[in-house]
Amino acid sequence: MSSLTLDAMVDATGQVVMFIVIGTGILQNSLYILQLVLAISELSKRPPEGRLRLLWRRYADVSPHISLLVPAYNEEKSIVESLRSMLALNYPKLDIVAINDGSKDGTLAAMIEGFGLEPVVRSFEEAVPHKALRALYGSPRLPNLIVIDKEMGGKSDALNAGINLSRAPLVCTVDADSMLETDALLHAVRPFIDEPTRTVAVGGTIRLANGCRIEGGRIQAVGLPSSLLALFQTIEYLRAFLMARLAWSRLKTLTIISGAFGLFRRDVVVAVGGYSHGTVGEDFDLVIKIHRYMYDCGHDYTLTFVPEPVCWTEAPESWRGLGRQRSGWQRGALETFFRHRDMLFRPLYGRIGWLGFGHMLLVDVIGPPVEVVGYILIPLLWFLDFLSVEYMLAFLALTFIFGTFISVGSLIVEEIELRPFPRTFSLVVLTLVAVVENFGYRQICNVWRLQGYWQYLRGQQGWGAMTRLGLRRR
Amino acid sequence: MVAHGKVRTRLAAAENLVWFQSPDTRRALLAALEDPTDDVKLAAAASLAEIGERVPVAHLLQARPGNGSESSRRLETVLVRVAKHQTDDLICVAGDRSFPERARVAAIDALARTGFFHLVSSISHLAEDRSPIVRAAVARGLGVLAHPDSGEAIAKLIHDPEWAVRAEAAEAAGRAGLTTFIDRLSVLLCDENWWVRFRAGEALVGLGGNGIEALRCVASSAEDRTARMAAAVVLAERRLA
Repeated sequence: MSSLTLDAMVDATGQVVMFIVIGTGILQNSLYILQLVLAISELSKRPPEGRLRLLWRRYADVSPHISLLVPAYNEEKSIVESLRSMLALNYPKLDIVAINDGSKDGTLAAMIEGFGLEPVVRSFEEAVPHKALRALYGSPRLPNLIVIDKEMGGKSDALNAGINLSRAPLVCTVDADSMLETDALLHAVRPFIDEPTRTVAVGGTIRLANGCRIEGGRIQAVGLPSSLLALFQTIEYLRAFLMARLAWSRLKTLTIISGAFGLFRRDVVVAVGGYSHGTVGEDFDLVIKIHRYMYDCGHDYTLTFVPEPVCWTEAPESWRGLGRQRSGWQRGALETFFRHRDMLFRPLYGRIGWLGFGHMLLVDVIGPPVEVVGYILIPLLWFLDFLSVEYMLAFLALTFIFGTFISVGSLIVEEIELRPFPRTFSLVVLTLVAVVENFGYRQICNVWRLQGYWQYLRGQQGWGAMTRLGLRRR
Repeated sequence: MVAHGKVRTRLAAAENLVWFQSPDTRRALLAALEDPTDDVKLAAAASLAEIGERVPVAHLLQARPGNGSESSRRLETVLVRVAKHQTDDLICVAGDRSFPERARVAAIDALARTGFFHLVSSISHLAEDRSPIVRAAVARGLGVLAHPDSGEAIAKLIHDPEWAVRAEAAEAAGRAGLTTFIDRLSVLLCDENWWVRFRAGEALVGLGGNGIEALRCVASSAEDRTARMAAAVVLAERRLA
């Protein structure tokens, strides 16, 4: 009798676990499908603009002044070329603030030599906190370039220094090892022109440069990476940027603007205290702080995402590097979520509290452990004969088919609207990769996310060493 | 094409009709001013101005979604194009509180960019407007016109309770070469807002010898530390220390 009861209890537990796992999976995947539909709708409403001359003619006269903030740490080999390509961007009112964040190599010396810089004095407002500045450098030949040399304080600290030194109404944060499209700023500034008082921040599509031909700090030909790991990431970036961020932007609940490229109203960034220290998700945290501030003040505002590719970055091509990146992202998401947890489901924060934080709860907080538990428990319960084969197959089918459908869907949308890959063969390869990524890669990513969980619980700081080949050294 | 099709097509048509001047073009562009999309409407207005046709400015602003409270900055392009030929229309918009603040600001900016000195008095009349962004635009406009007759209005704006207005007024005093404002600008060097201090310092430099001398005096002997620092840094930045 007691054995029968125990069996019944285990059976019931198995059913509950299975329903939770499958339910969470269905909810997540339904969200992805909703995102895909919203992204399609947004793109059809507002098709991307392509031609530089047209953009210039339409927007150059009314484009606000932008300060490009470029934090650099140990970038001696590429910083001069990076800054040269940024100085050559097509934008009418642009200055560049490069921040040497206590590099241990010759980053500063390279900039001084490359641009003929000399020490300068510049009046600035101590609006947001950062570590001490050592010196400022400028050149009469390049009045729109200023270089800050400061003590090491991390990316957020460097960006805060740049915000203080900038005098433009808009600041654009860019990674020193990223490459911008020549018309990136003209694309990204468009929401600030269309809705100048409501728009407080704009994010843009980040694409992977692995496999592309790069000359003179510019992408000359778009191609696919040869490494399988980079191919997986290409699909992920298409999904994350074109589908997810566009959809959240449409719902007015964009909660992240990538640290690799983001355009912000300076006064709003200053009002929220700039970038936070002590988090690896400083870009995520800044956007949430902006939402909180705007809701608290009762301002009518919007954060927008532009679908046009604006920035190219390099994906890690080693398992170790990718693992570090992903666990760091997960840790950053958890740090931000728990730092602002009082916003969750709070009516005061409207859509952000319900949709934005609800999504974070589901995807970043509950999602990874539940998915991994599912991968472990469902075969185990099936093996112990507490789960029918039909249920297990249903779970696997749902997970894999949804995943493939969403990836291929975002590929199709991107191809229709933006035509990112000139060769049809590239699309065939990516479609295959979208199928293959469900068998192994997705599960490994979940393990990395659990590592991020563990690091968060242990209070680990920093990213660790990230090995990249260097875009301009390819 | 300007009346039918996708937004992208209508917009391109409204922009490019400027190359095909004819009565039909004029009619099509006037009709496009009623387009539901802001961009198309503004492009049609800009093209009308470009071909020398009168743009019904008041109608354009009143017909905008939400009465133009959040209008595209492309409105500024349109108003700049019509400013030289429809000055009176823009003066009306700038002074009429029934128009959205941003439209009034765009009108003042466009008027200032004409460079017509006779507009100094029209713009100066708005120096006591109740909207701070309009007052800031007045200060900015007077700075662009850079005429010595703007002194009286700038004197009011330089003591404005809003820091953004004071900063614009300080800059305007420098651009207009109002050397009689040296003492007032020196006082602003201890303003609570950095932007005001910075603009005041820059304006003093812009005023030449006497302004720079005043800055040196503040940097060396002012009682207020903030003023001393502000003056010293501006001098050092301009390599005048």
